[in-house]
Parts: sequence; C-alpha cells; structure tokens
Amino acid sequence: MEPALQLLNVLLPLGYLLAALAYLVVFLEAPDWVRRWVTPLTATVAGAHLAYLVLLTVVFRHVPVANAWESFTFVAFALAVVYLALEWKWKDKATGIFVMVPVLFFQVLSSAFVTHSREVDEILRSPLFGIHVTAALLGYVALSVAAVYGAMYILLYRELKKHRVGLIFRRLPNLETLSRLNLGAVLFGWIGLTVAIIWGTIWARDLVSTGALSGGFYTDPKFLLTLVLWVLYGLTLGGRYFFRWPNRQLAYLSMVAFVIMVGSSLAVNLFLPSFHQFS
Amino acid sequence: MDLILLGVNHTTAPAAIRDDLQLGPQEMGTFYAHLRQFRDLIPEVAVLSTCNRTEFYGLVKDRAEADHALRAGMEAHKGVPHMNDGQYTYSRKGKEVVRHLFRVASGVDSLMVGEPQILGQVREAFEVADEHRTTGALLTRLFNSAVHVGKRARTETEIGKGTVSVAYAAVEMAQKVFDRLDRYPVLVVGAGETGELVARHFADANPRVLTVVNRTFQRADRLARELGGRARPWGELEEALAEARVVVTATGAPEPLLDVPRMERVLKRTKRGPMVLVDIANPRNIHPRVGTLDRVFLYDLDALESIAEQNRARRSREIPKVEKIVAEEVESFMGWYESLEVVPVIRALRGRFHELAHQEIERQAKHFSASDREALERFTQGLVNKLLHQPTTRIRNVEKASAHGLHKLVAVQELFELDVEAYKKTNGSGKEGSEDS
Repeated sequence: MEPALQLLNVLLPLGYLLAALAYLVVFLEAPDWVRRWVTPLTATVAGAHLAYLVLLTVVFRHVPVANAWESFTFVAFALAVVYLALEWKWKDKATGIFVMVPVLFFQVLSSAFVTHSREVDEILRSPLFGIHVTAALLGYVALSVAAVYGAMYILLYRELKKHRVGLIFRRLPNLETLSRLNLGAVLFGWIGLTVAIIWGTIWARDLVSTGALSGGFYTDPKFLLTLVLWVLYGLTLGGRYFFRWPNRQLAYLSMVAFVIMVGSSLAVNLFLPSFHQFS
Repeated sequence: MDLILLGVNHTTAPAAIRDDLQLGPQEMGTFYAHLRQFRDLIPEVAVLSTCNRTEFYGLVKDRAEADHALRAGMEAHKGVPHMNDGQYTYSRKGKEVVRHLFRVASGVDSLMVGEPQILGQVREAFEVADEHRTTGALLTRLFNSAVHVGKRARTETEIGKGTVSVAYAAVEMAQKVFDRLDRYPVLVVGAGETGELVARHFADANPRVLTVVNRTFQRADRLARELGGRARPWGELEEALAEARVVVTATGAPEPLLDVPRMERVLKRTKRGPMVLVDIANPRNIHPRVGTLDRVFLYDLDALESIAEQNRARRSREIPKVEKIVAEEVESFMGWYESLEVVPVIRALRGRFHELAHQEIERQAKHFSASDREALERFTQGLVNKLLHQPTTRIRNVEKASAHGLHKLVAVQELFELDVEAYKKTNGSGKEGSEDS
C-alpha cells in the first residue's frame, strides 16, 4: 500500500491546487461550468484525502499526528471538510479561495517534508485517540475558518458604511451570508471542541484508572486552554442566540478568540510541559 | 452590394431631434412597408430606433441612391427634415458598419456606458425587421454576431457591472446587505414623486411587505395600491419603522424625521440584524449621524450619486477590453463576409468533396490491392468531378453584386458546412470583389 500512499502524497497537492485555481476563477466570476464542477472536484480531492489518512493509519498503525508534517495534512483535510460542509449548508462558493489557499499551503508542506515512522508513542495507536484528535482538530480548524469569515464580514461592513463599491463589494457575498458562514463555522468549531473535551475527559479517566496517565491531567495547560476557549466561544454563541448580539460583534469576537487561540496554543506548546505531546 | 449604415444618435443630435426621428412600434410597420418598395435597391434593411438613436442598417445595391431613399423616406414619414441635415446624421460603410453595430450592442456607444437595455433593443430591431421580411443572410449574420458580441462584452468584462442609476443604487446596496430582499419588509415614507422611482425598484424586488406611510393617508394608499403594498397612517410611523428592514424616506419635511435618539428607540424595538435607510429627500429626512449607528447603513442622495459615479468610472475603465472583443469579432465577421465570393466557395466545395472521397478510400483501403486502389481513386475523382460539374457552373454564374447571389453563396456554405476561410488560407486568397463591401 505504500506506493499508493506515495502516489496520493503527490496527487493531493495537485488536486488542491486545481481546486484553489477553480475557486479563484469562481471568485473572479467564473463561467457556469466552473461553478458547477468546483465543488464535486474539491469533494473528490477531499475523498481521496480521507482515503490517504485512513491508509496512513492502517499502514503505520497510528493516527497521523506523530509529527508536525503529518499533522499538517490532517489540518488541510479538516479545513477542506469544514469548508465543504459550510458551502453545502449555505450554498456560497465565492469565498472558497480564502480557505483553499491555506488547504493547499498545509498540504504542500506536508507532502514535501512528511516522514512516517512505525515507532510512535503507544497512545497514538488507540482508536479512541483518533476520535478525540479528529474532533479537536475539526473544532480548531472551524474556529479558524470562522475568523476568516469574521474578517470578511468586517471588511464588507466597512465598505458598505463608507459607500464604497470596490473589489470587496463586488466579489464578496452579502453581509447576511457572511454572517451565517461566520456563525456556522463558530458553531461547528464549538461542537468539535465539545466532543473533543468530553471524549478526551472520559478516555483520560480510563487511562488514569489503568495507571497509564497521572491523575492531575485536569491541570494540563492544553486541556485548560481548550476549556477556556470552549467557554469563550460558548459565551459568544450564547450572546448571539439568547441576547441578540449583533452580527458584527460576533465577527469581531470570532477574530479576537482566534488570535487568543493561536497565541496561547503557541505559548502552551512551546513553553509549558503537557501530556498532549506525542512525538 | 454594399453594407451601409445611416443614423443619428446622442452624440450627433440633441434629444428633441432624436425624439422627432424615433420610430415607435406602430410606425415601424408602415415604414418597413415603405422600404419594401425599394427592395431592388435595398434588399436587406433593419432599423434600430431607441430614445438615444435611430439607425438604418442595410445591404444596398447603390450607396448614394439608397442613402437618398432612406433620408427621403424618413422625411416623408416623420414630416421633419432632420435626416437631410448633415450635422445630425452619420453614415458608414462595409467594415465600419460592422464595428459600429458591435460597439452599440456591447454598450460602449451608449449614453450610459454598459447599459443593459441596448442588447435587447438590438435583438428586437432584428426580430421586427425579420417579421417585416426585410432581412436576409447578411443582416441575419450581422445581428446575430452583434448579439453574441454584446453577450461576450457583458460576461467577459465588467462593462455592465454595478448600477449607474442613482435610484437603483439604493436597491443594489440593500442587496449587498441582505441575502434576499423578498424576506424583509420595506417601508416608504412619503408618497410624492421623489421617492416613487426608488420605491418602484424596491417593489420590483418583491419585499415581504411594502408599506407606505404619508401625512395624507389617501396619497399613501394610492401609492401603496400601485406598488402592491399597504398604507399606514402617519401616527404609526414609529411602529412601521420598527418592523421594516429597508426604509426609503422622501418627504418634503424641512427638519429630519429621523434623528439619532429616535433611531436608537427604533433599533431597540427591532430584531437583531442590519437596517438599510435610503434618504432621497432634499432637505434630508434622516440626520447624517444616524449613519454612524451600529447596524445602520444610511444612503442619502450624495452617497447614491457617489456609488453610481464609482460604477460609471469602473465601466469606463472596461471600455478598452470591450474594444478588443469588438475588434476580434469584427475580424471574424469580415472573414466570413469576404468568403462570400465565387472562387473561394467553389474551391472550398470541391476541396470538401475530394477530402470526403479520400477519407472514404482510406477507410476501405485494406479491401483493395495497390492497383485496385489506384483505379478506385481515379473512379472516385471522376465521380466527384461529375457530381460537382453542374453546381460549380451554377455557382460560377452567381452574381455576387446581387443580394440573391449573396444568399446563394451563403446557402452553399451552410448546406455543405464549408470553411471557406480555411481553404483560402491553404490555397491562396482567391479573392474577388472589394474588401469594404
């Protein structure tokens, strides 16, 4: 199966390059046939990507997050899936280019530098870990996508306030659609984090009972950070649904929360010890 | 035969003159009937008449005589001598006629560059001419190509993007805020003429409900009925504001009806989500500071004019791209037009038949020995020559100078799907007749 993996490792960046170009053409007002084919094309590439990840897991007998390059392909896949889900729900193709470029970036990096090893931390071999990490990754990626839509919302909002009808006005979808995409991505991300936290907690308690993990995992910085982010995004959603916070506030909050998420994740990963390190 | 154009438009004649010369739908019939008397002189003719131009496109036997007949016909028909006044009219011939019509159809020759109506008007002008049986192969191809150029210009460039109408700019801005206007209520404050056009544009977008509020209820009721909406009394203005998501104000009130405190009260009562306010009154009905409130998008006359101006400027920047498309299509049309000559058509016809015969022999080659194949080739060539002898003689006798002759050449090309240009390129030009006509 390794030749198949090598082939997919080459084909995936090419597929995403094609998808990104197609979305660029759509952004620049494509002919109808490009609009019709861009989503099936991207879904096909994402399907092949899923096959690649499954093959990686089967061949190397671990969830492919053993090193940064493996994680990047997982991130690229999660981004593509989150975007396709939002596009399917809200029928907007004009913003695809803004997600496909990061997808392409992560997949190219991964394809260029990835190495696989069969000798990995035992924890990576657990299927339970696979579910936990997939949910967490989808959650974080969806929240990143929400920040992108939040930024687009703010840009268009300003253009409309200033009576400017330039490139942003012409190319982006309307404010209402951007707001739905922003909210949809936050909701998707928050659900992902919820599943990751609940699943991770239950699984960690099992590990503690078998002695595989120390009982103090509640104080793990990464766990605490995820909890803080979960609360922050949860409050944002609550404010939107129960207190009628305006869409613009949600857009700003999703951007601010994203900055906090990236900054604190970097700090925790670089400077604090955590049991969430498996490589 | 010559391809000619005679016309007046917004660059050569003032509005009053253009109005005098415009041919309405009723007049078209009698005018075409008049032109049919000159069928020998003008075998094909189509009239494009709008508020900004009246133009005659024709295939004519004698340019000067046809020009005179058209001018005299218009004078007799409209009772005004403007077409005989050289300062108002322009005429073109050959390739320049093609270029002119393509520029017209693509919107670059319009008063409002890129306006969408002209493409439909070009198409309609041809259909009317066709109904009156004054078109033929040449004008059919010319007008079909013009419509094609118009569509290309609008899909491949931004010549038609963004409204340049101040009244419609308000709708365009609201459409950039809301996904679908038919889900939201629209309120029109004031029932005078000022706001009517903007209100009509919003009514065309089928809002969930269109409400009109006016100090005089009867006037509100009249406008509401016209727009398919409902009227509410002036006393319910604040309730109506709280229910609306798009508000158009156009009253003659000397002071703003809507200031920041009142708008804040309204916003508190509305659901979350933005509101679009369009103030086309002079003096303003909405205080400018209302536009600084969160969730409020305020567009007054200055803002709408600025939006229309930005779109006008962008359309102007697209003109060179459209001119490039026009140039390409003119060359393509002229390639076809110049292929309507006797010798190239005969060459293409013979080439096509011999090509088919050769392909068939190649396909069956394995069933024949080398000597049989030679005999077969001689036989096939002879057969093709015999089959084509009569048609070739007939085509050679075609008078290209007559419309009938031209139509025959077009028919032969279409019947046998001849690519005359390709044969001209591979076998030399074989050109007959003048380039311009």
